[in-house]
Amino acid sequence: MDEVDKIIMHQLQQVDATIEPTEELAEFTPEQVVRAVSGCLAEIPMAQRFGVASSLAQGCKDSGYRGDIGYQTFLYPNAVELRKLLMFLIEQLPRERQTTEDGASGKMQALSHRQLLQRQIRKELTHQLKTPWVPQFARSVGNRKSLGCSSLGIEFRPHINLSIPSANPEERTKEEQQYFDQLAPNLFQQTASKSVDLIASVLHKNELDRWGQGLPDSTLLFVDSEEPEAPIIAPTQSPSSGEAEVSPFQELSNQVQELRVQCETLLTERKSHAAALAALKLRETKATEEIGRIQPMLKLHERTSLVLADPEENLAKLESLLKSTQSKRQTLTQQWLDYRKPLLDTLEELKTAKEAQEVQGIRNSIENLEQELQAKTKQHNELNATLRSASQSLAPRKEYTRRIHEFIGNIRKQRADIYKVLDDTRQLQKQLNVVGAQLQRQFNYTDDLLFQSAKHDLHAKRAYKLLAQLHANCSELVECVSLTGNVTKQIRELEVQIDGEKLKNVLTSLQQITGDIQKFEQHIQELQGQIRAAEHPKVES
Amino acid sequence: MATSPGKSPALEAGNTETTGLLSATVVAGLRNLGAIISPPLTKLLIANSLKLTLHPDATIAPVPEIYASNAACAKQSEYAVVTLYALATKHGWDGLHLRQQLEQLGLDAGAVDELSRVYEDSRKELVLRQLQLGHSFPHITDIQWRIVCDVKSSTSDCSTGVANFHINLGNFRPSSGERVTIVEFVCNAEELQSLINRLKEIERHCNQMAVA
Amino acid sequence: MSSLRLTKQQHDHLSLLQRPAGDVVELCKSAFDYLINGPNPSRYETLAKKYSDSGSAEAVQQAVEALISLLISVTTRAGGDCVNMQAILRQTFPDLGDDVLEVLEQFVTSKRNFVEGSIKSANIRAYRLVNLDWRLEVRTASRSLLEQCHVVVTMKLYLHTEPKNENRELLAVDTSGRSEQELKAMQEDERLHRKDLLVQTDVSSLLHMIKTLEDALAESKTRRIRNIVDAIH
Repeated sequence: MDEVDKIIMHQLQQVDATIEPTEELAEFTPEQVVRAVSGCLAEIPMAQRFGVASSLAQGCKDSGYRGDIGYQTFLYPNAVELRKLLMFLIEQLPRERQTTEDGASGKMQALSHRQLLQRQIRKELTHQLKTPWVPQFARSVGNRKSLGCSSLGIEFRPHINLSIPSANPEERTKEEQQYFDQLAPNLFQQTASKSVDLIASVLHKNELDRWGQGLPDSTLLFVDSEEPEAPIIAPTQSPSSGEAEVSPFQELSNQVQELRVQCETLLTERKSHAAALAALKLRETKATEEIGRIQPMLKLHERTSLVLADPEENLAKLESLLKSTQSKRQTLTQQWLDYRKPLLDTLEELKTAKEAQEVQGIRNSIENLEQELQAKTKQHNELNATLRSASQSLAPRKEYTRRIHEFIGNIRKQRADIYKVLDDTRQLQKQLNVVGAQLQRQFNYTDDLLFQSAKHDLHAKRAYKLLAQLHANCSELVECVSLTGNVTKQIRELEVQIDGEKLKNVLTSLQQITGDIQKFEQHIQELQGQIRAAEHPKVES
Repeated sequence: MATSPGKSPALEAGNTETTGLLSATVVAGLRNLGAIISPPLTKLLIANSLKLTLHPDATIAPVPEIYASNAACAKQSEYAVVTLYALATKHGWDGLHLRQQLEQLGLDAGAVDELSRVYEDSRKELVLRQLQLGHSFPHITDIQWRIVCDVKSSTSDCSTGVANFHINLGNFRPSSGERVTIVEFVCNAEELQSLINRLKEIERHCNQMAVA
Repeated sequence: MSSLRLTKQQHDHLSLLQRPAGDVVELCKSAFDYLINGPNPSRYETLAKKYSDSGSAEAVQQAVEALISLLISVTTRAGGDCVNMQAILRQTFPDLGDDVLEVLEQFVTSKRNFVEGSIKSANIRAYRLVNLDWRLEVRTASRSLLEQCHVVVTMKLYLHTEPKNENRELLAVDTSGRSEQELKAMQEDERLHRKDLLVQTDVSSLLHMIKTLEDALAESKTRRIRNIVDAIH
């Protein structure tokens, strides 16, 4: 066995150098077993096709191994089984292996990289050629297992200006911190737009953050005021990049920094100015309000002072004006009264007319309503009467139905009784039959018995004769009984018939008929008398 | 990039691969996790970020409690988580590698656990998501055809007597499911046959590639 | 097959056809020239002088224009059938001699392609597929995923809005027997009506496309569809 093991070890070494050789297969650890088998399987073209990744045991079976193989073969190796398996696998190794093995190892690796890619392409192609077609919308599920394409193309379009809090929170100003805490949209909100992709954006930003300090101008082009990372990083980095070459980028970034500071001071100035402006505007509005209030007063004052300038003359003027105004007013009142009076009269008239009309209308309606009321009461009385009559006629009907129900109940009861009697009769008949049969048998038996013994015994002979006589008598009796029964039945039927006839009022009709006959007889006699009377004169003549 | 990586500030801060790839902002955002942001909120934030990364078109209910306190830190951390996953996926790290890198940054242990767990759980989806990203021509996934025969037209009284094929190539807009026509053209039976031959030529070539 | 319905005016304009066959040939040539270069009054002047007995240059031009109108209406009606065309011409001009009719027929037949193309392209324009270039591409890396193996078939579709007859000529450009002006017009046409389009697809979808197109082709060859097409024809 040792030699076989040595050969196996040697071959395994060639397949995979990482397998450490041991003295015997019995010393193999589970990891080594898996490695050895998978290494061998990877070399076997047929197994390759099914994929080394698939279950190792299944792979061995697929490659044609007939022995008992399963999980346990790899996890709990058994020297005998393992030897069998590995010998089988090594036998399957291709011959060319030895020749390629001789080549330089470095070349091998370079080649294998390319081969790996080719193999991968081949695998992918075979897979795609073999798998059934999956509709596009089911591909993300259907092709998941094979890492197959879902045939979606998303363009690599980064959001070039993601706003994410920078690494050092100390460097953030208070406003920035507040902005990030409250207002700033999160990463996903920023990339929610259809025109950018999340992954592309974060990859872009990460690269920008890593390399950005080398090209601050390009980042500054995109960076808005909320994202000052690049300029913050830049000064900390400048010394490390060497004093000898102060790049124009950095100069520019310094300038930008200065400008930024300037801009900030200007902004604060602008803010204070804006506040002053607002205060002034407020004052202005107040002042205009005041002016609006004062102006009418001023006008009044002006007039009074104008009047007071020449008091007597103005007084006279005012008085005359007053007078004229008064007279004018009087005339106007007069006119108004004149005009008003006829109107008031007409108004009064119209009012009374309207009232009268209304009263008339109400009266009419009252009359109408009264008539209606009368009609209604009349109708009510009529209906009451019909109701009473209806209820009266209704009572006997109830009575009838009650009686009918009673009858039906009685009939039911009677029917039940009849059934009972019928049952009894049947029972009796049955009993009768049974007893009759029993009697017949008994008689036959006794008859036989006595007949047998009658041949030898004289008494028995007599007894037999008596029995025969008894039998004859008995049958006669039974016949008589049944005859009696029949007669009784007939009697009953006749009685029923008689009752029926009686019910038909035979007597009265008979009397009528006899009466009629007597009448007819009288009539006939009269007629005969007449005939005779008629014949007599003839004869006489 | 013309600048050598040695000049990057992040590299000077810590001379590892991760810090080389992650910007200072990202590192700061990751450090918030499990520290300024409580562990349960960290979990919530990571899950929410992943959901929004994987399904950019879906409408996902907002989680306001993330921003209840320390909104600036939360926003920074969201960016950090998304960037971390994007970079890890881009460079093809496995879960273990991600964990190693994060441990080098000296993050909170719980946060490292959660970050690597979520990454491992959804690595395939992340790869699929980033596989889609990049330039591509209009991708045809759907083909429709109809057979058309003219009866009469404004310029000709009689039918040409030949059936034509209207062929429409298109795809479906992933967000709305609406069909988008990429190109529509007409051809007769011969032209269609030659088109099929041309397409089969591609298929043959693919088959050769797959077998060779 | 009924005759063409020409107006009285058209008949009047075509009265010059009553002349001998040689003159009619001359008129037809003038009509060709009209189609390509537009009216040429000086030529009509000389022709008019030649037919000194009847008419002016104006009459000649009207005759030429009426000939073109005739050409168009015959092509529209006959739609590609030579026998029909003969019959139509004979019925339309019962009073013309056989030799003149023959000239007319030749005139109509020789220019039919030209007119048919123009007629059809004047109708609703649809793009036709002229050519297809393809390339199998594998994307091995992108900015967002450094290691990948994304197989894509990229195709360039050459589309053209011209009707199929001219199209076929474009596919195999036959420059012989064409005047320089015609060639120039063709190039101009191509510039105006061409559209090239770059698209891509995955292999799985490609297979699906092939299958679907083959289905379409098979469907078009079924008896049902043939019957329908024949019935329409």
